[in-house]
Parts: sequence; C-alpha cells; structure tokens
Amino acid sequence: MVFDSFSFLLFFAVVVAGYQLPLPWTWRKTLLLLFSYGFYAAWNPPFVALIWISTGIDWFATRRIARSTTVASRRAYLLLSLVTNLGLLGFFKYGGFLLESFVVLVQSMGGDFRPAAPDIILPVGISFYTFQTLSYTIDVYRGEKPWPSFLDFALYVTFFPQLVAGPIVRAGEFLPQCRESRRSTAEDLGWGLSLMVVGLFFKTVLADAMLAPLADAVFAGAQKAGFVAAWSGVFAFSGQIYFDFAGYSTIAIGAAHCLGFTLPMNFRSPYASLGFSDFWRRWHISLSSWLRDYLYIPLGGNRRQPIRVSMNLLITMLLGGLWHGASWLFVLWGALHGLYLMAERKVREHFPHWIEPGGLFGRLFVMVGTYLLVSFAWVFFRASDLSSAMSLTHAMWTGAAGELAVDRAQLELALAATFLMLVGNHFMRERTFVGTAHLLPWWGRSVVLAALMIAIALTPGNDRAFLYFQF
Amino acid sequence: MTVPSSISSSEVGGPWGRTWILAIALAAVALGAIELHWRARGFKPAVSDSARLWSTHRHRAHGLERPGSVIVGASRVQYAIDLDAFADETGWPVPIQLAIQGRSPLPILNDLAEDSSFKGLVIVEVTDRILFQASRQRERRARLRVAESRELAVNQTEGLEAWFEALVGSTFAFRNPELSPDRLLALSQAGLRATPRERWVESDRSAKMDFSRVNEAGLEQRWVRRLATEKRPGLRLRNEIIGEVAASAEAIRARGGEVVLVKLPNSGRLGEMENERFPREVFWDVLAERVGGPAVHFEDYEELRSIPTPDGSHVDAADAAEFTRTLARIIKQRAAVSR
Repeated sequence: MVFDSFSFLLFFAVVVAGYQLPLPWTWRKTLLLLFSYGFYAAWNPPFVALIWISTGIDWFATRRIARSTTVASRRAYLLLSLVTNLGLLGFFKYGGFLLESFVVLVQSMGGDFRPAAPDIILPVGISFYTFQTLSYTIDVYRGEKPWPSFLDFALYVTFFPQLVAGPIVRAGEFLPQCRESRRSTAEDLGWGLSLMVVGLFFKTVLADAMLAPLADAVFAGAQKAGFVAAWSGVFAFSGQIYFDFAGYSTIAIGAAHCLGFTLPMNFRSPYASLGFSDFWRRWHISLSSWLRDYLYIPLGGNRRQPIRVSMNLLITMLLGGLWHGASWLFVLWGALHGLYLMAERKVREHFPHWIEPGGLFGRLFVMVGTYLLVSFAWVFFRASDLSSAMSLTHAMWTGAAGELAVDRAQLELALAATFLMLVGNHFMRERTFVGTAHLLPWWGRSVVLAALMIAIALTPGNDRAFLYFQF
Repeated sequence: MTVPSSISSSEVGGPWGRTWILAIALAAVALGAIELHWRARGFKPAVSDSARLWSTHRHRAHGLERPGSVIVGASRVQYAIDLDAFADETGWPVPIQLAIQGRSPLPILNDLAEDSSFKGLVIVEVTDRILFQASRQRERRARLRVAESRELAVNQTEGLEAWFEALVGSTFAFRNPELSPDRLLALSQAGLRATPRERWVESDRSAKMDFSRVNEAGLEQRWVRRLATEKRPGLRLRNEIIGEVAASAEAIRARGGEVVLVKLPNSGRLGEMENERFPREVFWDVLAERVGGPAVHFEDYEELRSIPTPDGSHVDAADAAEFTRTLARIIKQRAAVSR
C-alpha cells in the first residue's frame, strides 16, 4: 500500500476514525500498532515476522545491556542485536549481490562456479526499520535508559507513517511522545492533511508526471545521448528523486501529525546547498545524521589526522551508498560524494570564503556548482549499468553530439519543474514550511490547497512506486 | 530523551475548519467545471490500460479451468473481441482479456504455462510480424509486463487499488489518459487542439476503435511503414519461437487446458505486405502443425473474411460483436472437437 493510492486513503480514513474512539490511551496505541502491522502486511504478510524478530531481539538485548554489570556482557548483547539486524539485512538485501560478486571474482580467476540464482525477495523498508531499531540499541549501550513499555517500543519500530521509507526516527524523538494521550485535534488534522496534499503534489504531479518521463527516456537511451539530452535527463532525475522522496517524507510527517505525533524533517531545501557538507545536512537528514552519529563519529570523525578524516568520510559515504542498494553503482555514487566532501574539506582549510562567500552572486555560484556536481553523481545512482553511466558521463563532460532525440513536451515540463524546484529551494533555504504557511491568510492557504488538489486530480495515475521503496 | 523541534501544527494556527471547507469547495467547483468542459468537447471517461489493470486480470486467470478462457495476442484481438458477446455466444464465462497492444503473446503464454493452477482455454492471436519479430523487442516488452505483474501481485491491496482506479477512471472524463498534461502540451506545441480519440480501453481491457473518426488511409500507411522497417526472422529463429509456443501449449494441455491459435483478418496493402513477408505456408501452417490442436485462420472461413478491417488491421467497434459471435462459434466447435 503506497501513500499515493486510493487504498491508502481508505486505510488512513479508517485509522483516523478508529483513533478517535473513546478508549484508554494504551488501547489506542495498541490499535495503532495493529493498524501498522496491517499496513506492512498489505505488501507481503510473512515479512511482518521480520519486524517481530527485530523488535523482540532489540527489546531483549537493550534490557540485558542495561542490567549487565560487565563490559563483556554489554558488548555481547550489543553484538546479538547487530548480528541479528545486520544479518537479516545482509541476507535479504545483499545476499544475491554478494553471491554474484563472488561468482565474478571466481570466474575472473579462471574458476567455474555457477550457483543457482538465490531468488530472494527484498522486504520493503528493511533498511529503514533496521537502522531505526539499531539506533535505539546503540543509544542504550551508550548509556540511555531503556524505555519501560514494550508496546511503545513496538509502536516506535512499526509506526506506519515512517515504517517503509523513513524518516529514520530516533527513539528519543518518538518514545517520549507515547507517554501522554494524544488525539487528532483540528489543528493536527488541518496541518497534517495540508502536508499530505503537498507531499502528494510533489510525488504525483512534479516527480511522476513532469520529471520522470524525461529521466526515464534519457536513462533508457543513455548509449545514444548527447550533451543536451544527457544533462537534461540528469537534471530531470535530480528533480524526480527529490520530489519523490521529499514527497514521501512530507506525507509521512503529515500522516503522523494527523495522529498527534511529530516526526523530524527529512529534507531542508537541499538544492540550495552551499557545498556538499551543507547538502548532507539538508538531504535525507535522518539517514545522514544516523551515519554521522553511528558510523562517522565512532570511526573518529574529524578529530583525527587529515588523512584519517578523509578515510572516515570516504568509508561513511561508501557505506551510505551501499545502504541504498546492492550494486556497485551505488558504491560509486557514495565514493563520488566521499570525494566531494574530501575536496571541500581541503578547500575550506585553505580558502574558507570560497564555500560560503558573502555576496549574492558568489553564493549563487557555489549553489549552482553544488547542484551541478550533485546532479552528476545521480548518474551512477540511476543508471541501469556501468556502461550507461559512462556513456552519459562522456556526453555530459565532452559535449558530444548524440542521436537520442528529446521529446519537446517532456523537456519543457521537466525544465518547468526544475526551475520551480530551484527557485523554491532558494526561497525556502532559511525558511520552514510552518513559517511559510504562517505568512498566508487562512483563505490564501485554501486557494493553495485547492490548486494542489486540482493538479493532483487532473494528473492521470500511473504505476510508479516511490523510488526509495527499493532501498 | 527529548522531543524534536519539527513542523509543529501549533505554530501554524487556524482556522483549519474554514480553510479546508473553502479549499474543498474551490477544488470541487473547479473540477466540476473542467469535467463539464471536457464532456462538452466530446471526451468520455476512459481507463488507463496500465500494468496494474493488466496484472489484476492476469490474477483472475490464476486457477481458471475450462471452459474459462483467456485471450492473448496484440491489438487486433483486443479490438476485435467483444467479451460479452463471446460469453453470450459460447455460454462460457466472460473471457479474460490479456492481449497487449504491440507486444508478443509468447511471454504471456509461457507465463500461463508455468502457472500450474491454470487449466483454462487460451486463445492465442497470431500477428506474424509481432510473434515472429526478428529483434524480439516486442517479446521483451511483454516479458517486462509479466515481471511487473508478478511484482505487483505480491501487494495484497493491488486488487482493491485496481478497482478504485477503474471506478475513478470510468467516472471522470478529466482523468482520461488522453488529457494528461504532457499530451495536452505536446498538442498545443503542434498547434493542435485535443480531440476525443477514436480508440479507448474499457475496464475489462477490451479496446474499441471508432473508424468513423479515423483517417483510415493514414493509419494503414502508418502500419505499412512500420512493417517495412521490421526484419523478418530466419528459419532458425522461427523454429525457436514455434518450439516455445508448442512447449507451452503442451504444458497447458497436459493439465487439461487447451490452446487455440487464431489468425485474424487483414486486408488492403497491409494485408498484401504481411502475406508477402510472412507467407502462410512458411509461418502459420508450420506453427499450426507443430503446436497441434485447434487453429483458426480467417482465410479458411468466408464469414471471417467478410468482416471489414478499415485500416487493413483492426475491426471497427461497430462490427466487433458480430465478428466475435462468428469467431466464438468456430472456436467452440474446434475446441469441442479437440476434447
């Protein structure tokens, strides 16, 4: 069940109605938990068991960690959680990839190894809820007190708005909200539904209808793309993935709001970033902050020798790339971002004003430069194979002419959406949704909401899933 | 543990009740006006022939037994068969339409053969230039649809979603795929106005073509030009494809199902070219013999030959019911003989 579906609208209406029943808070939380399991089971019922395993193991491990009196014992229970969660993730997400890579390695050394295809189905959202439960266990290992209620913890792992594609919520952000009874107030519903409409507009109108057709056409014909086709297709994908994922996150945050819960922001105008470290503070914030807190800092962060700091950045970004999918192309995408960050660090050391210049022109120059290089990196994220990625790279940087003809209507729609995105990101760089909504009178919000709903209704549906579901 | 500062609703302020009532009223009035505008211009609600819709109908074929039937093929059979007329004429359940325009029936037939629960009748429409395409591009595209369908089938709410989509699609003209923003923009760039198309798909996936609004000669020329660019397969590839059709037919028959091959009418310049490039004795006759079982070629039946195909390839919506009844009678006879 995806957010941009009629089934979800029906499901969500039932959830909100059920949530209003005059029942004790514990019962209503139980109801939310059951609805969340139902939401996940709508994909593939047996995979709910994986969530139960993660929930059970982490609940057990954290209580043991808190009670342990020796370092060895605390480590052993942390290891239990890590091995179980990463083991499940490794098997379902990377099993086929590891086997395939091993076969290539053996064959490159002259061996003849032909195993049967593993045929493993990837459970939707496994990367998201695995990182979420792991963060809780590591926090407890680091000294946080374990949460006393199993029901609250199970709801934290499974809460349906953020279950399958984030934001990756920290226990400290969610569990305290379970303490006191929550209701869907008129304020919560009004603002939450507004966010859901904005998110749906991002996904169905901007990502799917205006940007995806050109991106799909160019990446499908990558081998024949010339300079103009390659750059326009890559810009279209930059916009598509932003509106697709930011749309999903906005709907998730809005749905949670309707139920009286607050989830953290996941995007903050990333294409108005001044440099790459700024980009990663604005793009998929819940993942980048997770990687920072649970990987980069434990590796030593930036408090080591310059060479070691560079290695830490590279390792973090390589693993961040691999988190997105079991493919060497994702590793290359991560490596490229690692190199960007390393280069930026060097520039900051010697020419700090280059990255954050004072004048408007200089800032625009850095913003556009960041956007261009981030967009170029998406080539490796989106291309179906290395050869297509290299063809596009060649066309983009050599100005080569190509045979691929770009449809004029698709190009104009994509350019319009890209322009809207860049201007919007620039305008919103230092602003929040709340602040912007606050600027409008109530009837002004009505007009904006009506316009978005009309655009959504006029855009014929398609079968495009949210891109981040595959991760 | 602390609660995050986020986009809290309390900071936005109301009045939300008034805001939403006005927003819904504005949207309803605007959409109502747009609906009336398109209907006044002759547009009707239409269903998108999407992977989801196809997948829903493929799911219905799971566990199907004779006399339940499935139709596979390309556009000719999707336009020519009136599903209700077929059911009425044969007394069998309404067939499931799985033909896909411009795609080979082979991967769909293979998929049904692999489905051990399927024991129904498969009507395989053979358009030589599609089934025997040298590049096998049309086959790859059909295989992609099968793969998409298998992915979608995992989702337990797909049936419900398809039902909702069909309901909305068949209610509102403004959701007609012909009125999508990219199409409207492309038309305006070409200096054209959107006009109701002569072709549409219904929620049971049957397709209709109203030739009273079609430039028949132009359409035929388009098919002819397309055929002229397509390569004919060598005998080796022909045998390979025929072998695959025969293996799937054998697997279905072994479970009690049946496979009927059908060749639908063509005419005019396109018909001549098709017969020239794909001679009956080299393609159809070899296929029918190797696959065995019932095979219906329009040339062998006067009542099928006489049905007009205005663009050389497709049956008009007005003739579809009559044509279907004729074909259904023949298929029922042939299938009964084979049992």
